[in-house]
Amino acid sequence: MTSSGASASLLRVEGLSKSFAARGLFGGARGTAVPAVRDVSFDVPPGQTLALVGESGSGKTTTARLVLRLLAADAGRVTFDGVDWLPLPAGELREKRREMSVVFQDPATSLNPRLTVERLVGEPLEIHAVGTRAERRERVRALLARVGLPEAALSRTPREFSGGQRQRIGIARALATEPRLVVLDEPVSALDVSVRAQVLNLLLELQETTPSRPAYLFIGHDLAVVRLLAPRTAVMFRGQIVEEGPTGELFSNPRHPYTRLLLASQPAAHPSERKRGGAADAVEGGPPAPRGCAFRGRCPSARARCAEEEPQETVDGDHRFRCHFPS
Amino acid sequence: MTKLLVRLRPFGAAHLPAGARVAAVFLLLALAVACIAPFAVRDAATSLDLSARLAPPTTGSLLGTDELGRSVASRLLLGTSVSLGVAAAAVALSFVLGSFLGLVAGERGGFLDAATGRLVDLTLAFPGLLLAVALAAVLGPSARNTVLALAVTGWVPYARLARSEARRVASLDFVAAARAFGAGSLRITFVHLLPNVLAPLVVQATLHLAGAILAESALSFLGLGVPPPAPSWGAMLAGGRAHVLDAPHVVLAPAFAILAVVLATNVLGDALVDRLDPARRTRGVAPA
Repeated sequence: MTSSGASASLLRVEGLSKSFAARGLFGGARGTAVPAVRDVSFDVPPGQTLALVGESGSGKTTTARLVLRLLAADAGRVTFDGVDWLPLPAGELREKRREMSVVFQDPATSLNPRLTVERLVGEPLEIHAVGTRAERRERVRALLARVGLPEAALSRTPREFSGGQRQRIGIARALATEPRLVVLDEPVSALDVSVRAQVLNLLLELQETTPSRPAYLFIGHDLAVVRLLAPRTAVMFRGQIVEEGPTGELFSNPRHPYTRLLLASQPAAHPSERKRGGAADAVEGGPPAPRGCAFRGRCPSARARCAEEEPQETVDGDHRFRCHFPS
Repeated sequence: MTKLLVRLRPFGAAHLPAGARVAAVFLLLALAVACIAPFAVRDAATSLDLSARLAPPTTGSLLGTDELGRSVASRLLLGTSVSLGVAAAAVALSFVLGSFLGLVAGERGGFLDAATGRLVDLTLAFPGLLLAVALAAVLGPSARNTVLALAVTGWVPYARLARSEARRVASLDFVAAARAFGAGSLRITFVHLLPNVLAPLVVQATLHLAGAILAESALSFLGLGVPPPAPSWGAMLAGGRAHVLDAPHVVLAPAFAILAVVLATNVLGDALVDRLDPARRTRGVAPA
């Protein structure tokens, strides 16, 4: 069930599951639970990056929130830095949280508009009572310099910054306690295309230069971004990881039809490279299939067996996938 | 202090329309009078002169005298501190109590939220002023009991407002981020929720102040407010009631004082509502 590098993993997720009770609004009957994350397993080695990609509603953000313990998991096991993470009692969890931080998608809502940058970036330090007030201010100053913000930013509020600058504030905050793991939940999706590359390069650079050498769990849907950032990629569909492997191999030799579909729906770099009849016209599926493969409704190579039997995980070297008829 | 000023920037007088600025200046003046009056006119307001009962306004006594020969002008000034003091204390108590309950309910959710909700429903089931009258009657007339009677129902709008705003803010990512960084409930409530729900609460307080002044006057008029000889505006109305036809000045003076202060407070409150969120108009004056 687990991939390679298991013995040296910083974050190990095994069989993580979460469903939400439908309230009659989701098309399901009252009381039926809609699975958001189903039996998800992956490893993040120290200092490495794992990308979790998929369309909206695939459960990738829910997975991030489960790992951050902002949501309670229904089942599964998470081991973080050698600690059994999910049953950790509140006091110890609070203490250990300095090792795991987060950057959210939209910096407009993930920074308290009433706080100054000094307090925003210094908040994790304040929470964990690191140093004196003056020492914290010094660290915040240094952090701002590292993310490329002027010192004058200290006393301003987030409103006074552009989207890209705000995300830099969020990144500075995430690195304040020198964490071992940073969960990046679509950190550039809300940004202008023109500043995405800058912020991504900053993230790459900070991974190298931060003394704690943080690992990244990168949640995204933009494959071009993933290719740049992560040596390993896991593809999620309907709450399951349908394929996982080294990013290069996954891109050049996708085994699962959904991965191929994602790759095909990437916009071409040049109009002349555009292909006709891409995946864009694939139908958005209805309610989750009661049995069989969740993807079969949109799958070009679906056969009778796919409707009968849910595909189990196949491991091929350090590449794994869930498909009866892989390519 | 500068931090507080930054927080209150949206209330800056410079952004308010002219009418609201006049109202704000008037209220500040009333506040100054309320602070000074107890030292300046206490004796004049309580000394009786039965030979000069119900004297009309003259150059000698600016607003004439009341049914016991006391200077109406002095009583009006001293009444400012009694009426505004009681109303402001009731508003402050309601604000703190209601906001706290609402914030805690919004942050914690679950049982606490449900319990607060039921308590709100229960309190709303009573007619506000009637409950205050009953309470004041049971507790006996005094300034402190008037404040309590007004706050018993006054906290409800703050709790409802604070709860709904807290729930809205609590669903934003910066609260999730704070939790992910290890922040506890106390920090979430007071660092992240409170500053972001404060503005509508302050508006609510302004509107509530007008209602509280009226309610205090009503209680005093019924003899259930601040007991004599302290000259609350409502008590002055009650005292002059019998002489409305032959000595109208006794009633008109406190009536205009109440009118002016309530009007000014409402104008200011409305301007703040517009200033902060045009979509969030007319939440109405607090019951009671």
